[in-house]
Amino acid sequence: MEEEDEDPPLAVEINKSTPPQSQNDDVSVGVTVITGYLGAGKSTFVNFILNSQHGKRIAVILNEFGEEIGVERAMINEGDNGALVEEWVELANGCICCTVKHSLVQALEQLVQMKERLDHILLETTGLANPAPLASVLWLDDQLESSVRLDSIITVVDAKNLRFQLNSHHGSSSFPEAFLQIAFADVVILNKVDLVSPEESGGVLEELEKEIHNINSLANIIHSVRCQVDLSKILDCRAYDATHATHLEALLEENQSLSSKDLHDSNVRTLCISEPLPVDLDKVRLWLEEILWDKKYSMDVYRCKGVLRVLDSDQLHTLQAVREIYEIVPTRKWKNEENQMNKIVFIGHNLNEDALTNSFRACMSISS
Amino acid sequence: MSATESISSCGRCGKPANLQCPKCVELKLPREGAAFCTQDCFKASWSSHKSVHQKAKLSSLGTGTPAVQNSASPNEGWLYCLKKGQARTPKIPFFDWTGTLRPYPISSKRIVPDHIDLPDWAIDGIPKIEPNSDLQHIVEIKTTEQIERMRETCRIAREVLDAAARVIRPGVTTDEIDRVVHEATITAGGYPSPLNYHFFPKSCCTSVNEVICHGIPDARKLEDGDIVNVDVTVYYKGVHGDLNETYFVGEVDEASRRLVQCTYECLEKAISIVKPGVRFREIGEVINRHATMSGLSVVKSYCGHGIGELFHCAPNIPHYARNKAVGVMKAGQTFTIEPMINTGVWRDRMWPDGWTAVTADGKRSAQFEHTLLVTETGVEVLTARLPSSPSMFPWLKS
Repeated sequence: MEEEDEDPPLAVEINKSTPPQSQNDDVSVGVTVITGYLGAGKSTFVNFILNSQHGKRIAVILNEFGEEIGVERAMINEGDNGALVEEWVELANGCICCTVKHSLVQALEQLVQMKERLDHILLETTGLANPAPLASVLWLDDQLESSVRLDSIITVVDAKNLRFQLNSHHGSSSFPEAFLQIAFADVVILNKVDLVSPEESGGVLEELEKEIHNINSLANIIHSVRCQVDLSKILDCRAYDATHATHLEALLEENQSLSSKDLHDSNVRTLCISEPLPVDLDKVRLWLEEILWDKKYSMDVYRCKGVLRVLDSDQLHTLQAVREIYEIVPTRKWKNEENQMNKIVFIGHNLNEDALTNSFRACMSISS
Repeated sequence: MSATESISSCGRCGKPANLQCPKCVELKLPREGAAFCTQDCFKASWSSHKSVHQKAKLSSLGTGTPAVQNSASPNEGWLYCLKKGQARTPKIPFFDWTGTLRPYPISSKRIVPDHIDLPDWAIDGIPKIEPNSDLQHIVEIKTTEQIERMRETCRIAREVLDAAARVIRPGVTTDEIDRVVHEATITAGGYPSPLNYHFFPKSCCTSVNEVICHGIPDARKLEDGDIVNVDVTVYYKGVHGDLNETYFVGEVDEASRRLVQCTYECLEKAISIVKPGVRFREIGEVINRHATMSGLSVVKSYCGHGIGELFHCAPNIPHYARNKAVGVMKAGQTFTIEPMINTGVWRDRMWPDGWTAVTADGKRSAQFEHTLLVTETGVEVLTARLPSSPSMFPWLKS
């Protein structure tokens, strides 16, 4: 045990004492979840990102486990010269029991630590019909100061086949995957627009956009041919960042058009409620928890986003929820020119507008 | 972060040095004479430099100083743990240790007699029921019958921990503590849940000084001034009972006493708010408030957990503030609260064995844990101290 090698070991840098994990929010790596039917062009999209010369170092994780959320293989493009590097990412060594971070998160953090510079991570989800569990796992508490953060959920849909996919299970008890994937998406890539017949293409695409917005009016729809999109619109969305501005602007716009126009009650749709008077934050929390945790009014809420005008506060508060997980965070001061109000968007199934509006109004009363 | 250190000079040529000998780092030897400007200078100095390592090892043999204890002779065949317990190695693994503590070799697997009921990981190390159970998503409301079993099992777990507490003193190895826990559990007719849980090699966790949790009992002797946490879980009549306490070894310094007492109080305060209708999220707020007020930090990577017929299940209860934990407490739920509080930074790192979590800055960490039952009006501490429990804490009157 005492034998020293003939050759010295490699000398290490002095003052390498800061643990690599001490990264703050500004340098955390965004993780984008990519969903959609195989035929819609998911793989094409992934290949496009891996192969195009955008100067970014992007890792693509192929999740081939279906039900089980795990990490096996990571493909990283070297950015500058476009060379693809395939590596195995081991599942984290961390203890599985009683840990706050899911093993997938730990594996992604290890990946970030391993690489000198990683600009973004794409999580390609084969076989995962419902992105909600993945979102729950990746939407970490800010307090954890993780080196990874959930950036957005992107769904790739097929312009040629989407309507068929949406109608295919009409009347049956379960939804086609397309509904869930669109409902949870922050960005919808409407692919294969070139395959829609040219004569009617204007009308058809408009119709499709309406259908998509009917399900999820907050999603940003991008047309594409062979999934060739402007990466700046896809990466760094910060869709789960409470302080990020872009989402607020969309919500604060005066128009009421966020609620779905066509009301097929059996389908997934968007509903927007807005009220001008300031609300009591404690009451709002209880109200939201009854809906998300207790499934009050038998509503099934998938996502929820909103801005709140809070009693006795000059701060605009943002509200964000994915299934049962939610947070309400003071974001910034209301601007002088802004019309202060509450505006909340629900995306889900069996949404009851009257029930939501009336119960929310109860949060406004000064006396209980 | 650590205080700024003066620029070192190369041990060979005197130029400003940016590199150091990794063996000296590992042995925590002074940097003077061990800093070099290039790998070439280091290589050239190697044959004379390496004698420093030999001297360091020889000088600490048999003195029981914090540097390196002699563990080779009494423990023939004991090996270091690797890969979460799936592998062993005769040599201490390489790591940039955050403090002065090192792993020691561990003893061979303890036997469990045939008449003991085993959880499904006892044989092959892999829990099968637990990961796929609905109870990972829904918080169970226990039946009266289940609650009775939990009361009994938790009482046994308390008695086992008390037995371990009674043997704590300088010179005792953590392996001996593990032996006491193992034998007390078996004698009571239970199975020590940690044993082979995801390949964990021992029957309890012993976490010394900078170890936050999941320390593996080994050949290291406890030293005067150490603090040590012993974490016991017993599986009996189909349910688990889980608790842990941090103890003083001999005379500890003031900072350690304050750390341990504050941690105890964090748990106490958290328990005091448990009752139906309280959000799980609130536990972290209470703990964080008290720890921060005392100038200490809260570990964020590990959390409290539901417990019952499963060792770990819903809910997840973070101990830090501003968390998004889902749900409110309801009568009939059983879960643990187990805050880990650090003297320095909150961040943790993992040893090469795949289990031992240590503070990133090498400073000390303490923990306390109870298994709790939410009642109609409040809480019942299922693993509470008994009249027979030994007096281990100066701030408790009994």
